[in-house]
Amino acid sequence: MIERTENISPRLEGAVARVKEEFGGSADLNVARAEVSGVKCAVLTLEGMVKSSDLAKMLFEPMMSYEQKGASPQDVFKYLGAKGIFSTEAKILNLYSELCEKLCSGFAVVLVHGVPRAVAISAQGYATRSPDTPDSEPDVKGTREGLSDNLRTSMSMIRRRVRDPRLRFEFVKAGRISNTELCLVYIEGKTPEALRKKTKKALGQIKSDLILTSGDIIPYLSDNGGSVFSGVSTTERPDVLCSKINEGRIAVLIDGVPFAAVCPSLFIENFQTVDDSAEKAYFSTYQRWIRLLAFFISTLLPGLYVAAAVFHPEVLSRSLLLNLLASEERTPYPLIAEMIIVIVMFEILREAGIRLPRAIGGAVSIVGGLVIGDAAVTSGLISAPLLIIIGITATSAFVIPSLNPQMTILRILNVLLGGWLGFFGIALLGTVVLVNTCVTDSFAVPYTAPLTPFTLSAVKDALMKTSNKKRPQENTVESLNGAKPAEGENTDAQR
Amino acid sequence: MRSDKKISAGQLMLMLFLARIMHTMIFKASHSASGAAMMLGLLCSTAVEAVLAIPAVWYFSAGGSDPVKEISGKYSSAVRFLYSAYFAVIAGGTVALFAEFLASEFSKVTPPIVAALLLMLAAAYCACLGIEGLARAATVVFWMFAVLFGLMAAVNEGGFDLLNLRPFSPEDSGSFWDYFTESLSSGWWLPMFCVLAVHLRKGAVKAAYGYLALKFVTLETLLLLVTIVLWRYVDVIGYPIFALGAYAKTDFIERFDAINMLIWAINCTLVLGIYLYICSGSFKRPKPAALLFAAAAAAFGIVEYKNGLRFDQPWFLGFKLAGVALLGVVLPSAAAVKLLIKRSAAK
Repeated sequence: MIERTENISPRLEGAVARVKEEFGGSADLNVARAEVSGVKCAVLTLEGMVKSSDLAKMLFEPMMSYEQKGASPQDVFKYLGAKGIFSTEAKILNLYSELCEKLCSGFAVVLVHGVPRAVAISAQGYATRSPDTPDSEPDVKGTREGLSDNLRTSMSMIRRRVRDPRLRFEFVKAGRISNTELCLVYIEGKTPEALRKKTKKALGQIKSDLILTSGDIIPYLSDNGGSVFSGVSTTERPDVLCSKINEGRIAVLIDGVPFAAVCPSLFIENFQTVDDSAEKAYFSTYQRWIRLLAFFISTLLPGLYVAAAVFHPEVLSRSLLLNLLASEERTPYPLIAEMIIVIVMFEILREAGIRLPRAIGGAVSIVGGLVIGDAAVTSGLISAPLLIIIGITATSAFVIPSLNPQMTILRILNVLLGGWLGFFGIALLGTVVLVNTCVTDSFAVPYTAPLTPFTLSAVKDALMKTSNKKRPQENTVESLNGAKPAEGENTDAQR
Repeated sequence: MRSDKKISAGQLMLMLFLARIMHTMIFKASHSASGAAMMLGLLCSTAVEAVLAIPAVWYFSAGGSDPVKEISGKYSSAVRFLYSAYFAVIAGGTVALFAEFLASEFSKVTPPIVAALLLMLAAAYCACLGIEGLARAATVVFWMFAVLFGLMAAVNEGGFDLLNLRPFSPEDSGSFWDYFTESLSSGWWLPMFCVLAVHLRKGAVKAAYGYLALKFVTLETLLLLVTIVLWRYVDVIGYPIFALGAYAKTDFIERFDAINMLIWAINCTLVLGIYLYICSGSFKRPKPAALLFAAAAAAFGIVEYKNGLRFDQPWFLGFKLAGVALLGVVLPSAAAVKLLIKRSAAK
């Protein structure tokens, strides 16, 4: 293991051997040897991490064309490090640890015999997926371009949308083994300095060996360990990311992951989409309310149905109740068991639809919808009203994919408690979840703002889309949807 | 997860209001009383409460931070325990009344003892999350109430009969005094205010008098509705506010009883959470303390329920009044005087 302070040896063979030893003879470490004006050099790269054609043009051609009689190793190194190489990024390295880090990041490293330093040249050219449509956040009138696995490509997408020098990218490394590059994205002057510092500090505390998904960093950005909801959201869309950072938030891009983490994030934002800006204000407002309704339907409807049918039939109108009784009489299981079976079946079908290749994923819905659903009702195993309830619930759940994990678990808990204790059980669960959600903060911005702490002007803006002309142009994190703490509450985010 | 940040005056006002409205909801009419007498009783008790609140409100408005610490110094733990014990009893009484309400109106749901235990468990969890979560949740629950009452009012089929509202007469003085005492003894918002206003950054006047105004307007409106819609029917149906919902009806929702209970249960859990927070908030290890007080309050509530002891019995009225006087008036008055003396000496 190389010590962080170990200097590069001036002996070329010794230096190359030391690097090989560090990589344990890994098959992807390439060493190309050359002589430049009689001085021995070696170019170290990792297989597939550099673009060979670029390297040939940027490095090998100038190297080979350099001819100077009696050139010393220092002259050759000076030439390579200063003017001889056409690279956007060339760095002089003194330590083995730096050398290994650059190699792993896709740089080509040149060692010159007799010089205890190295030159790292940016020639990254590893194969990555080209930008794709953001499947997890589709919309009608927004961009068709999603963030890329390649950090640099994602950065360029953001820069293309925010052509202002105040847009900042700041790199941070995380992951004890993966050494993954993370990139903080924010707009200087809009994002509070405290938020930037806190985010950077939180990322510096990541203890994981590998950073493979946004889920690996989110727990460090949000300190609400036992919270049902998270004060940090993710997005796959560059337009959404730009809109968020324009409101003074901070985003974290992860190399190798096409999702960015955005904080702070509010509950009410789950019901807002990019399309809201593209539509008429009255229609966007209507859609927001539909999404909000869908959330409550998806979470509560099955539980309320079971509780009402089992414990509180007086709530239902007589005709509905008679229909329900007639249907339930034909089924062999108690209503709660029936509901749990259908919910679990639905979850299995949904999971199968996600995991299967797209080409045959559609078949799952046919099997689920037609074969199982129809057969279950016809055979009398499940009542038709219950299937309608699940159908409405499932459709509602698709409206807000970002809250799917919470909705799924709360739905099942509501059914269990509703089936055991009626509305009383649902009330107990509701209060616990409500207080738990109300205590969720992200960098001192209440997750439930502006509903509570209540800010009338912000509630209006959150629930009713205002015309683009009337929207405030100078947004800051303090003003985002009323996240400004209520009078008397803490104001850490602003400090 | 515990979060002990500051709360706003509006949030404190709503917490006090929800605690009071909880008591009104599970209040079971055990004797017939004239509506006018009750309304007058409420008016007088509110006026008295407004006067009694002056020391505590002045103390916090003048920059005092903690009346208990101010008055008892190094013995503050002992005085705080008095608050804890008082609110544990109040929590026990509340849970007993709610269990009784469930048993009489929703006997199919669950045995009252199980309901009391579950309520306390959920409340203890909420208390462990801290005052900020409780205060924010109070805003949501308040709006739930507002929507529920609005909805029930909009679809109400009950008829108003102004003849039910007979004027106050000397024969009603007994009813008046009964309701006045009951209402005053429900003034444990004063000790609550003394404990919770510690978390208040500013707006003690707004929180206290805003609460009194909100309580007065809401309860007077409810009393008026109960009187002119139900009148003597109150003696039969038990829970007057609950009975008002019986007149609400839509094509989709046949009866609002269970929906009322849903919202009441949410409020009850939240209010019990606030009481348990008051009980445990000053302890070094508040989470185990919250659980201990929850267990104690549940045990007390179950004993109370099983033995048919009620909040409006004389011994309980006396206990509540004594608590209001000592913890909500005498102690903050002493703290205010001490603060005044300190200020004068400093000058």
